[in-house]
Formats: sequence, structure tokens, C-alpha cells
Amino acid sequence: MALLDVENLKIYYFTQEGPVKAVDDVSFSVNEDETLGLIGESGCGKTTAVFAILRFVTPPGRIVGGKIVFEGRDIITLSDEEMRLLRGKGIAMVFQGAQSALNPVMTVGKQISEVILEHESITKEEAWEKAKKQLELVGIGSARAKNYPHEFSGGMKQRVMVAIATACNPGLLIMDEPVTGLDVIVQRQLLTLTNDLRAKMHLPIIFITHDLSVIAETCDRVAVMYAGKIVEQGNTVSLYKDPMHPYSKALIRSYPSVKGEKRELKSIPGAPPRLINPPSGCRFHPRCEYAMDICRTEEPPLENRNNGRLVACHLIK
Amino acid sequence: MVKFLKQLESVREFVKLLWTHRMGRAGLIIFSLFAVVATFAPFLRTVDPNITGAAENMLVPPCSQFWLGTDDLARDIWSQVLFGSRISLMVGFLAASLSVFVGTMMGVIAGFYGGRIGEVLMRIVDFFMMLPTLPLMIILAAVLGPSIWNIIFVVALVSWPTTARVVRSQVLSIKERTFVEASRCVGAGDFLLMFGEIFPNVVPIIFAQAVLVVTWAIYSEAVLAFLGLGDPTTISWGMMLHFAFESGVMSRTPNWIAPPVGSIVVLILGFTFLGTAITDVLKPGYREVRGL
Amino acid sequence: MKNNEVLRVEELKKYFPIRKGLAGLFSSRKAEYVRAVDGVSFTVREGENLGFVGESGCGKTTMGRVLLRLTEPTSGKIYCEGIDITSLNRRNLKEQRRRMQMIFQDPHGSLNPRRTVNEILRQSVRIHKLVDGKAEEDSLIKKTLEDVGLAPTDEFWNRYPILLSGGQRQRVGVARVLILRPKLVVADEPISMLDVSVRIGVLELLLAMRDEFGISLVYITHDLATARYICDRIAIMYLGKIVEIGPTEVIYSKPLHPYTQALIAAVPVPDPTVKMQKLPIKGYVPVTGAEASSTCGFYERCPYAMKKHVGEEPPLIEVEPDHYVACFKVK
Repeated sequence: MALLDVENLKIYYFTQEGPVKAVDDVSFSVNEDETLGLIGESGCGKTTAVFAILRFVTPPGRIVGGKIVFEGRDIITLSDEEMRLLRGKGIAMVFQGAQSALNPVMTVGKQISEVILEHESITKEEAWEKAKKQLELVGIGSARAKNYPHEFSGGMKQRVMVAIATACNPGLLIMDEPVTGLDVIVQRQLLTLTNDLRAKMHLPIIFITHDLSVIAETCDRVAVMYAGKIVEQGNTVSLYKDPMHPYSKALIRSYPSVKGEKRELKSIPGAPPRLINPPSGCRFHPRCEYAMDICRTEEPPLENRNNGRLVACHLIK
Repeated sequence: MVKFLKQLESVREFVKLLWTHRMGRAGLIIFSLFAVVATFAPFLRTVDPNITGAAENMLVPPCSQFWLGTDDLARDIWSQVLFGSRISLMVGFLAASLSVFVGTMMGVIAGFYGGRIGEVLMRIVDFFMMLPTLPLMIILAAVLGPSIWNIIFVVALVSWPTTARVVRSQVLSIKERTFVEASRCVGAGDFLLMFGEIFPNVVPIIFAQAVLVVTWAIYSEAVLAFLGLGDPTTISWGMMLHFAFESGVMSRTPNWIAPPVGSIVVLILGFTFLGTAITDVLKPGYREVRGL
Repeated sequence: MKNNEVLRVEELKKYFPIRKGLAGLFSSRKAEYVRAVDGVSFTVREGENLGFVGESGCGKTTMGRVLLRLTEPTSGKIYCEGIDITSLNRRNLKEQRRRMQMIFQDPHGSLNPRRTVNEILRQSVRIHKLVDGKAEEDSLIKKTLEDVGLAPTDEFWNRYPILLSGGQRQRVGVARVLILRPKLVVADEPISMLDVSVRIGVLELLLAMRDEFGISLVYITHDLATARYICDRIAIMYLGKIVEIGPTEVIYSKPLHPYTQALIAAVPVPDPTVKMQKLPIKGYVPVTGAEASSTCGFYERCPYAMKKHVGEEPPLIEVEPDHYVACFKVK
């Protein structure tokens, strides 16, 4: 059984103008020692879906259906106290924009040890020692435990966030756009760190991003989201080599690379739909070059094609 | 003429838009009620409120002849309330227009130029803000003599600095937005930037501010008149309260106090609703989001 | 001066004084500066896209603003079609601005939320009196909207920016510039805030500006991958200086400056079969030179740093036709 199983998850935002189906019937799973990439454009529901795993869904948003089973327990049915214990210890998260996620008036060492004390019954001194070890682990060095967040650069702060997230040896780490807005060199340093951590701690990770190349360098499996739905899911190498859903195809074809031969780039017409009133049938059909009549009326199910590839498209039989 | 009709059309559109807003609708109803009352006061009155009556008609409780009773000079209270709305609305609108015009000009210029010009303008604003409002009003009203025009002048004089400050702070933040720079880039001059680009973005706050000044002016008129600094020959709600207080029988005649007090409260409430609604409605995209 | 040069920049500098508060008043030390742009020279040819690539804080954005005099330069010269921009007065600058335009990064903030699409474009037309009469204005605006792919134009004519998608807003931004038919456009990260699937569409539009209207582009970005697709030449900036400049494919296939090498090695590749490259350098970008550096700015982080050149600054030398590098290692 997988470590995390998300089944038919539905999250709607109940706004004045009607329900916004931010996440609509989404299923995915994460296995032990695996990195899953969740890719999609802004507003496709990827962040909402993953926030639900920590039950960070605030009104007017509501989980209206589905199951999130982590280590055999359905997260949706847990009590608030059980949920609090699970956050950080069971599932930890690195947010986008670490700059604002750190407390500016507390040293980073203190911030790490506080998280440890919250979940483990050890003394303050032990927690402090552990915090220093964490800083060592993320490549900042224990000497800087007494520094305040403003004394670090953006990339260093993001490392501190990783140190906090991994402080209690969580069973699952979620990273939400962890390298967005960082400079390329800093970005590379952080990606290397992520891969190192994974190798050292055998930590399963869910990686959310809009950046195809970041997924390519970090993830074993990838799920492509479009307008609140997963349209394709599979092994990263095979999906990048042979994307089957027209959206994945178009996305990969529109992505530039610095290395190798300069490929022709192709743009995708139109823009992502507003989820208050998504297109009928397949949500991608207004932008799809292969759209058929059936695509306008009937929603394609996400079905297993060959060797574990899931695709939701009428074209593929 | 065509232009005027066009403007009329856009006013109609705007009112329609306000009607879709819950508070806007309430505000519109209250405002139109008082506007109708003020306009048609001579037709709605039962007795001429300026005419004092016979002694047996003094301090009459509400009855079929005097709907709300009479005061100690046997004047009809219902008719006084009707005519009082004229004064309140006039004071409110004139004072607000004056105050908002001066305040907006000063605010936009001070905010846009900043630097030395802005500093000097803001010190002037500070000076006017420092003036103790109520004593100043009392002194000015006393020196200039009791007249409705003096009240309008005084209210405008002490309220424009607030408008200037609010507008300036708004301009300060808007002028940093990229679209101002983008306009400068295509060659727009200072005047166009100030009044073509930035000004439309401060309109909601100016409206809100104007409504605030209207309510404040209505309230101030009532206070000054109550304190005896109004014009005793014009009937206003404040003046009614003043006479009631002077009569010494105030505690026994709720039918004398309640109508003016209630009118003041409801009218101010109506304007506050309107202010909130106008700010909401003028937010870009309100119409479209509501599917209008 | 060559005839086909649209822009020529010579020794451009922009220093920002560091405010030190009250203590600074009593300090005897000289005022300190952030050297955002520190002696940059280059040319842009007609119908050419020149990319400026660097990390945040390298001065590329400041440089773009200085080129249009949205920020006044500290020293140096900027010639646009032979006219010295730095010495123009306000009135002449307005005239000149028609020929030099800017596309901004933020498609949300760069359009006035209280103006409809046609009003935004009309402003440009009126300021420069491009045509006479309302009907003429309308047809020019219509034509431009079609040029940037906002068709049918009726659908966008009276829309407020809030009802446009990010990509559409940026197209309006391009239209506002295009309608003036400038010779040179500075675009600062024009696609970085857009959705991935609409980026290429806007990039194609920028390329069309060059190919169809002969407009030269100064493309400022941190994204090496997209720069490759839009630029004819690339300049790499580090701490306010150009460290390498040359034809795009040459820079990408054989970068010579160690910093360029590091940048290119750092960019993730959208191909899971390619292994991550090891970074040749360490550390972080220092705060832009508060002290005047007399050494190569990259010295501390450079894997090939040589002691004997401390105290010298490497000059930008031509190593092959059109390819310049500022590094002592490169001969």
C-alpha cells in the first residue's frame, strides 16, 4: 500500500457567484522513498490539492468529497488535535516565499528547536543541539544558529525552511514552489540539497511547481494538472519522452531549454479557463488541436494505458 | 444638449448600479425620501411652520390637525421637520463640494510632486488640522454672525485638510504603480498623469470622503444650531432641538425632540450606506463580476 | 559610427548613495554608493535582439531604466540613432521617447485599472498626435490590437484590464508600445509573471516585432532558457558590469567566463535523462559593491582565481569576432 493515497478528492470554493471547482475528482498516491511532481499552471488547483493534505483548506473553500489516506488513516476524519500532531511530525511542508514564513524576531536555531520541542519530549538543550545538526544538514553550518532571518539571503532562508520542515523526521515532505523566485545558481544549490536529503533520509517528497525543468531534475513520477483535474500521470522519464495527453504534449513542446539543440517552440492558443465556469466535456478542448465532437460533451476518464501511465483523453484508445 | 443627455444617461447607469448593492439600495431609498421631502416641502406641509399660532395650540400632542404636535410657539412640528431637511441637505452638499474640491486639489498636487511643494502644502494642511474644530466653529459662527452660509464655510474650512490627507496618501501609493511609469514612458506630461491617470483611481476614495463630509456637515449644522449659533429665522433640525432645549419642557415632549433627532440619524445613516456602496461599486470590475 | 546602430551606450554608470541615517552626518568618511551599473558599454544594431542576463541585483533592471532615463544616469552616454539621450531636456525627451519604449514585467500593475483597452492605446495616439480624427484613431487602434493577436477587437475594445488574462494584458502592453512604432524597446522580464502555457505566445509576439516591424529589443531577464529563443546576442552581467557578451549560440555552446559557465550549468533542463551538472562555483552574490572594487568582482567565487591579478580589473576583450570576455584566464 502506498504511503499517501488521495482518492477522488474534491475541493470547492463557495463564492458569491457560485462554486469554484478548484480540485475536481483528483486521485494520486505517493509511495515510500519516492518523489512525486505535481505540475500545472497557476490556478490549476495543484496547491489547493496539496494544502488539503495538511487540511489547510479555509472557507469559503471546503473539501466536499474524497479521501486522503496517510499511513492508513483518513486525514479528513482526524480531530483537530490529531491533525496538529500530524503536521510537522507526520507531514511537513516548505512553503513558497520563505522570506515571510520565518519569524523575524527569533533566531533561526530557536525557530527550529521550537518545532522539535512541539513534537518530541526532550530538553531544550537537546532540541538546540538537534537544531544545530539540522543547520549542518542543510549546509548552513551550526555556527549561524544564533543569527536572525534578516542576516540570511533568500536562498539561505529557504534552506532554513527545509531544516525546520525536516527537523522531526517527517514521513512525507511537501514542497510548494520552493525554488520559484530564486536566482538560478541559488535554485540549483537548493535542488541539489533536496536530492541529497532524499538520498540521505529516504524522504518521500511531493514537489509542486509550474516549472517543467525543475520536475525533470527531481521527480520520479509526475502528475500533470489542468483546470482542477489530473490529465496525465506517469514515470517522469517516459512521460517527458512520450507525453500522451495533448496538454502535456503542448506544455513540453512549449518549454525552452539551454542545452542541446535549439528546438522549435510552439505556443498553446488561449489561456487557462476560469474554474467558476469550466468548459464542458474535456476541460482542455477549447485549446486542443485534436479536439473532436465527443471532447465537447463527454469528460474523458483518467484511465490506465500501458505500463502505469494514466491519461484522461478521448484520443487514446 | 446632447452632451447633457449623455451625462444624464451615465447618472442613470450609475444609480442602476448602486441599486444592485444592498447598502446602496437602502441609501438610495433614504436619500430619495429626504430629497422628495425637501423638494416638495411646501406641498407636504400641513401648516406654514413659520407661523406662530394661538395660545391654545401651544405644545399640543400629536393629533389629526398637528400630526406631530406643536412646539411652545404653536408651530407645527411635522412641517418644521419637512423644511428642516432642506437646510440639512443644502448644508451637506455645499460644504462637501467645497471641502472635497479644495482637498482633492491640494492632495493630488502634494502627493504627486512630493518634495518641497508637497512639504509646504502638507504643513498648511497640518495647520488647518491643528485648529480646534468646535471652538473654531463657535468663534467663527459668533464673529460672522448666525447664517447658514457661515456654517457651510466653517464646515468646509475644517474638513478639507482631512480630504487632502486621505487623497495625498492614496496618490502617493498610486503614483508608484507601474502604469503611471508606463504612461510617462509613452510621453504623458505631469498634468495628464495627475488628472488622467492617477485621479480616476482616487475617485472612489474621494466619493467616500465626500459622503463622510456630507454626514459631518449635517451633524455640525445640528450641533451649531443647537448651541444657538444658527440662524433663528431658518428652520433646521438643529434649530428645533435648540428651541426645545430652551423651552425647558424638553423632557415632557418626546414628540418635539424625536422627529428631528430621528431625521438626523436616518439621513446620516443613509449617506453612510451610500458611501460604502459607492466605494464598492466603483471598484474596477464590479459590474462585470456581478454579470451586469 | 556605424549606420545600422540603433543604440550605443558608453561607460554608463548609475550609483545609488547609501543612506546612513543620522550617524552619516557626523561621519568623516566619504559617501558610499551602491554601484548598480558600473561602466557598461554596448551597442544594439537595427532589428537585433540583445539579451541582458544576470541574477537579481546585478544591475540589469536599473540599466534598462537608465536607458530610457526613467532613472537618471550618474555618468556615461546613451546615443539612440545618434542622438545623445543623456543631454536632452524634458520636451525633447518626450519626442525621443516615441522612439524608445518599454515593456514592463508586471502585466497587472502596468495597465491603469480604470481605463479600458481602447483608452489605454488612445492615450499613446493622442499624446504623439499620430493621426487626426476619431475615426482614424479607432482604425489605428483596431489595427494594432489585431497585430498583437487581440482579435476580434470588438471583444476587447471596452474591456477593463481586470477582465483580461495575464497573457492578454501583456499583449495590451505590447500594443501600447507597438502603436508608436519605436526603433528600440526595452523589455524587463516581460514573461516571467505569465502562465507557462501563454509565455511562448508573448515571446513569439516579441520576435514578430523584430521581424515584421524592424524593432530592436533589449531583453532583460534572469531566464537563460527563454533568452536563448529570443536574443541574437547575449550579455551576461555580474555586479553592474558586463562580464561576457557575444552571439547567443556561441555563449551557450562555449561560455568562456567562469560566471557564465556557472549560470549555464545551473539552469535546470526539461529532460529527466540529463544528469544535474555540478556547479563550478560556490557562495552567493555579494551585496553590490559598497566598496570600490579594484579586483575582478567575481574573484571570491571564482574557481580559477589568480592571486597575481589582485588589484587589477579584467578588461572586456574581444576573443573572437563579436565575442567579448572580461577574464584574466581567457587570452
